[in-house]
Amino acid sequence: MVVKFLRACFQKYINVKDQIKRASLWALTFATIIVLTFVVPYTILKDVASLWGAYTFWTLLTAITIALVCVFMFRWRG
Amino acid sequence: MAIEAVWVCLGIAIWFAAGCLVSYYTRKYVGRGVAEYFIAGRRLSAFPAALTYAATTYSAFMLVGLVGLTYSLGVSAHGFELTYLIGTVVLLAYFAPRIWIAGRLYDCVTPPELLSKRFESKWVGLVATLICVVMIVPYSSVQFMGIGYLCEGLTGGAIPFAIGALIAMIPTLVYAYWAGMRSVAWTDALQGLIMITTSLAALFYVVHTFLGGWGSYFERLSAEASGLLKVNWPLLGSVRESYLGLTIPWFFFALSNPQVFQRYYVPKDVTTLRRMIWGFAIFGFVYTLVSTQFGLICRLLVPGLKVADQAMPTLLATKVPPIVAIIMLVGIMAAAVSTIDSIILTLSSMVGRDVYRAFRPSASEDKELLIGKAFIFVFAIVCYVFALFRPGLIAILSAMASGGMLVIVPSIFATFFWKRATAPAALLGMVVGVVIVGLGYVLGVNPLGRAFNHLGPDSIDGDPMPW
Repeated sequence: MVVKFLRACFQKYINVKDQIKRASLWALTFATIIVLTFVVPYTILKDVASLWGAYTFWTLLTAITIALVCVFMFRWRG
Repeated sequence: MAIEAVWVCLGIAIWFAAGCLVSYYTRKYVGRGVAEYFIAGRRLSAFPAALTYAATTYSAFMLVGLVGLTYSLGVSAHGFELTYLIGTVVLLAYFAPRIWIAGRLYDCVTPPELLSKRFESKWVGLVATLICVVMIVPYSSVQFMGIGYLCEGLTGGAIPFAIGALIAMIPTLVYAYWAGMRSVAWTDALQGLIMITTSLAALFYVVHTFLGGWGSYFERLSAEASGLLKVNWPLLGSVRESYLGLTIPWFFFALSNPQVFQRYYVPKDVTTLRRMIWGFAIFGFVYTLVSTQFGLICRLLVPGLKVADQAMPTLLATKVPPIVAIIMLVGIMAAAVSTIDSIILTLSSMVGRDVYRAFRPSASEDKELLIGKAFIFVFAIVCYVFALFRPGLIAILSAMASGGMLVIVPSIFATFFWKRATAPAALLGMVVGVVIVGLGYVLGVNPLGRAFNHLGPDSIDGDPMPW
């Protein structure tokens, strides 16, 4: 009963906190992708002389980013 | 092997006629007023919005400059272009809805107008406009130069450089003037479709006809040009532009370039804005894959070129049948024109709104529109004249453009994410930024390497690639 009451009182606060957490997670994901774009090809994949090296990495990472941005955009309200 | 000029002219004439038809059709839907002319009354649907964004972003650089870059540097060039795309879609996800809403709330038509209203200073808008004009006009004239060289090269000089550049200038003028953004958006949609279909069809044709299919092509690539598959573009360096030196300015292209920024105002609702971004991202992804594949293919089919930017023109002139070469030429021309007409339209709207109207608030909207329309002619002719006479300043400004445009970005970030930012701070940021970029170029201080111009590393000064 008490827990329910407290939850009702702080519902707004909990929602805002959730939203901030979600937004931070998205920002962190995109920041990680951007760092990976530079770091991985210039370290691990630098000397891989194959299409399966940096070429595929950049291609897949871009496809993943586009897919993630599509999901991210569903958060927009009309 | 030169192509008959008459066939080239016929191909271009068919393309231009189709564009004129589209432009004429859209003219019927243009209402009165500045917003109606320059941003299609904020009522554009998803299909033209996505394709105009894509066609404006991707210029002749893709099938000339990027092919040359891949020809000389291999997959690193692919990484550079895809890193740009990643940066763009991420920035779009965060900024596009904010700009779209602010544009409606504050009735903004141009990108500097948003800055002016946010910082409550017309000087901020004026400085941003001046920076954009000084940096982007040379970039546009380089596009005309690219088409001039391409026509001259493909026809063995039968279409001289000046006529080739003029052939690009006329559609630019017609599409931009006839019905403003509505015409540019729908002709861009046509150009975008031409760009993607012609380049994809030519890629499949070349791979199957000259390389024996995809499997055989990949085997040949691994055997004959395996060095290109390594990451061999220096991350940092000071002789030529390093990977970071080129990637960082392009990463912020979606915010720094007014012709793409203005497109965030045009979608009719949030769903359309979302679809615009999806459409652009998919287009950009496919077009980048196609362009860089051409770079690798050119290395196999036309090896040993001293000037990498000649890779695509040489492939078209010496390997493929004339009909394929003409189709590709039209595709490249569509890419160039769709970029320049958008740039010229945006710059003209900025002169009308951020220079004339800002300092004459009592002026009528009709007068502002008239001035904006007049400047479409002024900018088109200036770009053409610059392309024709190629003054040394053009090469310098064009090379400085990507860094020069970047100085506006901090003010755009501050517009949305820094409540305490003031007009003097925005002004100082832009002015000091431009001075540093200029001094860096003049004094030869290039921590991230010497700047490329926009048609590739060696299309203006003609010095051979060192790689």
